[in-house]
Amino acid sequence: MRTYTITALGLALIAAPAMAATKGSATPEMIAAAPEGQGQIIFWRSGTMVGKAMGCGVNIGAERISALGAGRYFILNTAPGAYEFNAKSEAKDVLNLEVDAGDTTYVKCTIKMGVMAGRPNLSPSNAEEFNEKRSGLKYVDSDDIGPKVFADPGLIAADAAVAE
Amino acid sequence: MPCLVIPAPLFAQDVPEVALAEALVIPARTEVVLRVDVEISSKTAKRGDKFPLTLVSDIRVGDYLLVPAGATGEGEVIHSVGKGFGGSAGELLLAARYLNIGASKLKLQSFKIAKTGANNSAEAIVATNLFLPAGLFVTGSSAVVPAGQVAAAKTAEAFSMPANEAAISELQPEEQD
Repeated sequence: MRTYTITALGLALIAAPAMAATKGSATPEMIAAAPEGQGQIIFWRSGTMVGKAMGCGVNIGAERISALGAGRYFILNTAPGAYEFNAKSEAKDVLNLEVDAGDTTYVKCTIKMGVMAGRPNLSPSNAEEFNEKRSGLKYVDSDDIGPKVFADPGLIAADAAVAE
Repeated sequence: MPCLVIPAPLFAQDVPEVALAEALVIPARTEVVLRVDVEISSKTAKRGDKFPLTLVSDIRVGDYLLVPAGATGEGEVIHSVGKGFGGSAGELLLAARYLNIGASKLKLQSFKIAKTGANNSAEAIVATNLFLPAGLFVTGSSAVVPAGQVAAAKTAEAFSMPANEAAISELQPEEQD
């Protein structure tokens, strides 16, 4: 019995890195810089179990920009200026940002505990944090890509490869 | 602010006028390194609060020193949220607004200081599983930018040094051994 347990544990340890490698894209697609005169915001949400079933809708005022499921990200290229993003459930969380031309800003969504339901929370992030999680993240689904959201870099790369 | 000012007649002998005029302009998106001079905490800071900044390294264009380290300026808190129940962390986003160049202001952008305190949501959920209301009383920690924090920003636009304020010194070539 003990031998079986040790063997199973050994197999699990060997298999774990391989499973992790297949979970996300091994070589994430390059993210193109924002067009001249615009700034870029990358919104992301890690794939943790906390609040996994909840979506994280990202809005500017009442306008829905996109929604982040667990382990998703999206890119918003926009004009420089001050923006007030929000995410709502039973409470509204607001993040004030200033976008500068030529810069990339990172925002992460986490689900924190609420009274009746989880509460999406938008908070400042950075390139290091995003890149660390990047291989485990997928772009948002096509039905979450609104008119302002940049197209999936993976599909753009695939289209370019087909065209060549 | 100590700096070496070369008298105009001396410049005229050594530097062509066009080159000097170009040297008197700080291009847009020139990187500048700044220090936050006071501690800022999401516990007390409010959106719109101003804070002092100091230029850490000289701004040089070509061989000319245009703004020596030590120039002072101002930044602004653009986002501040205190820590909260349910394990949520404090948040801070700071922007650099300008450096004082004599009576003029050199506008800045692209300041990269964003701080988030420790998020204890997971601990809050564990506490909730043990005793339902307990999780609401687990808090995260405040976001704090310590005094002396250094970060880069960029000039927001091309800036012509005011002629009467220009503190330009011709850099001396390094001595050869």
